[in-house]
Amino acid sequence: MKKLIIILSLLTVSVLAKDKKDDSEIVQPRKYNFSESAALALAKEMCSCLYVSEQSEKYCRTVTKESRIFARYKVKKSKKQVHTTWGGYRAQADFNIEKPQFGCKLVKAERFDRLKKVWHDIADEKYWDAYLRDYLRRANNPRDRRSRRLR
Amino acid sequence: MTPRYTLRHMLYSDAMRGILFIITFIVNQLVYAQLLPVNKPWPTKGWQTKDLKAAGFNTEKFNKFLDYVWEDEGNFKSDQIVIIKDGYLVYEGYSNGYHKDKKHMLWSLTKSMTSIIMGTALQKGIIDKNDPAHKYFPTLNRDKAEDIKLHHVLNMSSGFDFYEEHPIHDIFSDSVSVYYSRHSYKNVALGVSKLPMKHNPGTQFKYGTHEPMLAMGILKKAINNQEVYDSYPWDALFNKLGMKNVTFEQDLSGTFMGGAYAHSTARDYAKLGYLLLNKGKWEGEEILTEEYVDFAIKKVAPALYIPKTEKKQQRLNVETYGAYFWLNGVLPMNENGRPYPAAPEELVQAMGFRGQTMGLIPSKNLIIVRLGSDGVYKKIKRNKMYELLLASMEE
Repeated sequence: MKKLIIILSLLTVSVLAKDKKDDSEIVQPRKYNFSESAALALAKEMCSCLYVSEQSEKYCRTVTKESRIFARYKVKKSKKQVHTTWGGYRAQADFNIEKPQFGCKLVKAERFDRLKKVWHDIADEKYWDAYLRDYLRRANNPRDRRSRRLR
Repeated sequence: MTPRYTLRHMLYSDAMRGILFIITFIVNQLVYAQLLPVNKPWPTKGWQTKDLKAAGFNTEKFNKFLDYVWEDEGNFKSDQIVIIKDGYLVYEGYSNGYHKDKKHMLWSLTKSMTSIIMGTALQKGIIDKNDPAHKYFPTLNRDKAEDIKLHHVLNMSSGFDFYEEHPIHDIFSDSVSVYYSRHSYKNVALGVSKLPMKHNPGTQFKYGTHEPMLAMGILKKAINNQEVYDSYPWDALFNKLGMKNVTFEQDLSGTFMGGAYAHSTARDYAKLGYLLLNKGKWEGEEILTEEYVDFAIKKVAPALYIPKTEKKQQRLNVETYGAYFWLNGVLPMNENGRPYPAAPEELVQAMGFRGQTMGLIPSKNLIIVRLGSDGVYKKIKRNKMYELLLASMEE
């Protein structure tokens, strides 16, 4: 009985694998990065919705929901910018304040390795130097709230 | 006695009658060719309005159309709707915070706008339909790609290996990665020019955002002056038509995103339709040649007549296409008839993501622009929209 189940499972797997192979022969997923696309798309579309269509953030959240499922965003209203992050990528779209007829454009799209950054900071002497100086400054400042805690 | 020639004699003389006949004939021809703006409302400073009934609509049946397009059961969201009949605005409606001057994302309606902008450049002789694309993008100087001509780009038959709507899932689509990739977002047209080739140019129609992106890149290279290029769409088109509410976004290289990123109002976008209904003429000025208007909205892209060679690619040889406009003709290999059976074969459409639509029916001198925020799966049914609209025009 066990053998039969194993044989049937193997047959099922091979049939499924064959079907998958047929599909992949026709179309291969393209060479792009899903996380990257989600971050870039959200930055651009949220920026255009907010600053070109001049819609509310609530409305813009509904029309960007496909990319927002994955990516997170932050709006900088004073500079008319939208910053997004997702899966180790970050993007930025800016509204062209000087030439509003050109709307929003993606100005930054880069790989952002948070862990790598933290490790880089820890390994950097200057980081500790700055941290120590900041600590001492606060410790010596009686007005600094946090300095009271330090003492 | 010498005969006295009075004005009456002169008018009745054969010679004078001949001259009057010739003058009348020339004026008629000019009016017919729409070079003289006789009794035609031109909306450059804004659309003139007309009552629905006076425009020949049955208001009761028209309400059924309105009930459908503005339904609020959460199936789709209409934001702006404008209907133009015989050059008069007969209906306009707005929702979701939009009003007549508030711009809406056009998505792929931008492609049709790009077609018209390219048409103006052809009319001015800035570019030629037979220009090889590698003349502007040396990256295309390679196998198969070296044969791409501008008319292939305008007919979406360049032959690039590109999937606008991926059969496995939309998220894998090249239409997403063509803008949203670190490698191409700075200069999208250049990124397109580096795409691998799959077919010989002119042999396979393939709807895609990449082609109008490349087209606007070609125009930029042809103009070869950033300042002139930046103002070109406004100088050559928008300002002439009085389109005041238009945003046309650029990538970081300063190239217009001809495939999807323009914004406008329904009122302004309808002016593009009116330009086409008037065979490219606007208040006596030729903006597009009649030949280009035919190329864009009448002549089916030649590659569509070649049987499809790829399986599972959506939108392949199922709907007819001109130059960045959808047509409603029946292809010999398409047994299902017209793509939009409720509308006549002459229907011309600009269509975009989230249900953006402009429909033109030349024989009825009718334009409908519908801008919306439909979901990916819950979209307005365009065929039903035309069915109800046309029913309201029946006598």
